[in-house]
Amino acid sequence: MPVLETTDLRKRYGRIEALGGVTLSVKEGEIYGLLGQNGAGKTTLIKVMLGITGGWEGDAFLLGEVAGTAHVRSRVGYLPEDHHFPDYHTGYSLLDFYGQLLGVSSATRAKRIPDMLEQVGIADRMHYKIRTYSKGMKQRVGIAQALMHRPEVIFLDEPTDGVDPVGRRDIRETLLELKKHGVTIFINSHLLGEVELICDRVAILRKGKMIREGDVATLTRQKGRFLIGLAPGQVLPVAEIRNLGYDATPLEDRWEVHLLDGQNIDAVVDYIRNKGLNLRHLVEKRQSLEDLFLETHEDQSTRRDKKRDRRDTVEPITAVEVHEEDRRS
Amino acid sequence: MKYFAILKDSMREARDSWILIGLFALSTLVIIFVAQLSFKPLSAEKTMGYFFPSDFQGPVIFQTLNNHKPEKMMVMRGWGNFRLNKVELIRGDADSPLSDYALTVSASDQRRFGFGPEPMIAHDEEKKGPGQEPKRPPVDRKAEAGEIRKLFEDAENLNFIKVGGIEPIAHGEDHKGLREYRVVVQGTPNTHRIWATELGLVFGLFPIEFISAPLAALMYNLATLVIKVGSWAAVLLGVVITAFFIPNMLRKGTIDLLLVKPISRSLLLSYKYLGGLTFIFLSTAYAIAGIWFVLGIRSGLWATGTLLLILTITFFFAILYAISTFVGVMTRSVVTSILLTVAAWIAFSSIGLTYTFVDMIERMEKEDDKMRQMMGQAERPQEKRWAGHWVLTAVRVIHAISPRTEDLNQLNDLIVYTDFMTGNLGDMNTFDNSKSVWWESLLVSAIWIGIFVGLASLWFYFKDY
Repeated sequence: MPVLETTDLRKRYGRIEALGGVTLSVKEGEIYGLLGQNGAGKTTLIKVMLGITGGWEGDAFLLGEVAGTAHVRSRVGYLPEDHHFPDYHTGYSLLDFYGQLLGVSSATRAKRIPDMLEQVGIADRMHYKIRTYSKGMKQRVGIAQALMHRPEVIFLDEPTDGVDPVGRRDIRETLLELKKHGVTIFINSHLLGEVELICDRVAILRKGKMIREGDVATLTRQKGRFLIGLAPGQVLPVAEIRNLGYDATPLEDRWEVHLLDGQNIDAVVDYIRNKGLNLRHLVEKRQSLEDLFLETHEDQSTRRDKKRDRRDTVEPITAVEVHEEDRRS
Repeated sequence: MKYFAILKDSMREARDSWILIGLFALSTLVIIFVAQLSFKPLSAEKTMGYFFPSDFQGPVIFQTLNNHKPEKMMVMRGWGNFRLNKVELIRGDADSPLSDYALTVSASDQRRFGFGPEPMIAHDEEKKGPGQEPKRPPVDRKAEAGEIRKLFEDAENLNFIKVGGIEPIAHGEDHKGLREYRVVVQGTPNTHRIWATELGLVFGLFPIEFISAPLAALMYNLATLVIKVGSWAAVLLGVVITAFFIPNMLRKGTIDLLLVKPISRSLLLSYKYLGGLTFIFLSTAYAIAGIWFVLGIRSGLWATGTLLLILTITFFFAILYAISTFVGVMTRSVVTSILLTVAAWIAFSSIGLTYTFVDMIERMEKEDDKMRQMMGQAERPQEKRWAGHWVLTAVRVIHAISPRTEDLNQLNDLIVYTDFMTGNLGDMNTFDNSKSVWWESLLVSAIWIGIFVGLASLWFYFKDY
């Protein structure tokens, strides 16, 4: 059963349609990233799920219950984007306050709060007023408060915003550790590199509508574009490959082969082997999540060329994996 | 647990602003100030003198016991015919409230301060014809003794003193025309409440000779001054401090973190509201209990009913905080909350004061009617009467449906007064002739609290954050 599920979810703020029929499903133990420009409806979606915003239409279920009920909220952790913790609290007292509201017992709070603050790296400042914290430290406190009651689902809105690279790595590791324990994590973020590193699946919202969804590998894969590398000193016979009907282009010391509809890379590989050439490198080209995001949002006709120039992420995969992917598709 | 969490959070927020600490510091200073006051009992002569009029005013006891009856104070009787000449101890310790005393009182034929109906003994000038010696009608000594007894009537009814007997004193030919009476008065357990007392500073090192009055009156005036000014300051500071609570809670990024907790919105707002009230309750309790304690220690008069003011002042604040909460939820603005709450406070107080004035006018008109009837004068014409005027009716209607902050002020005043006077709040109606119905005032105010908090909850419930 999905942990989070929406069907044709709609929400309006007056004349503005914040969500225009979003349907998605998040499985248990998954890290799900929601991408979109400002105003795309990402935060609204989370607020609907958590009951912060009402008056929506469609179906929305969280942990098998209608989204937003008080009972289901006790099983959920949340870090809002523009959080503003009462600055008269210390890190410790804030977690203690939220823990009480969450119904966490006094003994458990006394034990867990220092542990949580230790985990996010601010244990030495836990009795200082929050107003003395840096933005990154506040973000760490935010992560700690979202996790302190051991929730089953965590919603994080820009969790690494303002955090230094080391802190971002720590947060990533924390989230991956939680995933190992079966916690479902729902992330809104503009830091697409971060999302790409930890999310299993992502969705892209635009003007309240979901325009792309899938696992990161699939979405970022540039289907039909392969990079071929041969043993040193060997040269790919580009003209002959083209004669076979494939689009091949030299690219520094490698060659890019673009498959057209119905074509298969296996024919090119066979040709290379038959020619006695030694295949050393075969990868399917991938674009970064950022490229994918921009491609999705930018005007296709006028900006596609600029986008191509920015493609740079290439990750090697084995030929076997390519074949398997192709078979599945 | 959630309520206490929110209460603790509110206290932490208030403490952070330093106003709370300032409030407690101010209360502590007031308590220390009261603690150093001394209340020195004066002589029996001074105390018994309070039953008799002076050249400038009516009897102090009369004024003390009718403090909350303005109609009686305005239409005073002709007091000026008796003087206290001597006080002798006949039983018990000297200058003790529990002793018995014999008072020698002389009757004078001269009119002194006072106006209203006929004086008790007719004035000589009114009885003589032109160019004739005054005709002195024979004096009815029994009736005159009865008039003397009337001076003790109010105090006797409230068991402050017992009058054992009033006997005419016979004089020889040398003192023909001198009319004196021997009045025997007996102390009761309550006599110390009306005993003449002098106020002193720094534990009596600096006596203030010109400030002396019956102990209960002195205590009432002192407590009223301190509590009125103190509660006014506390409520105003409370309005300022608590005006931050709701807008701060509703700040973007703060409210989200509260709304995702497993607590309903209406409960969250109610707890926040109760948190603000508890904050005022605690600071009021500290100040009132402190003042009550030190006054009790210093004077020996333990006006325990005064502790009720902790509840009534909190209830008073509850009205204002309900408005502040409503405005805070609607506007999320601290400044707007403070300004509108104070404006509402002024408006409700104005309505209440106007109503009190109207009520007093009607009571005085009634008293005036009685006097006119006694003096055989014609009734006041209808066009010169305020009673029944549409303006008064309008004031009554507006007062009836408004939050009763001023009624609560008067209730507080009456509680303190009654408690110091007799120590029995059941005597409140004895001291008060107003038409105020206290339960009605509390009920109407409670309904308004419900309306404001209810509307705030409703808005909060449906609002998207």
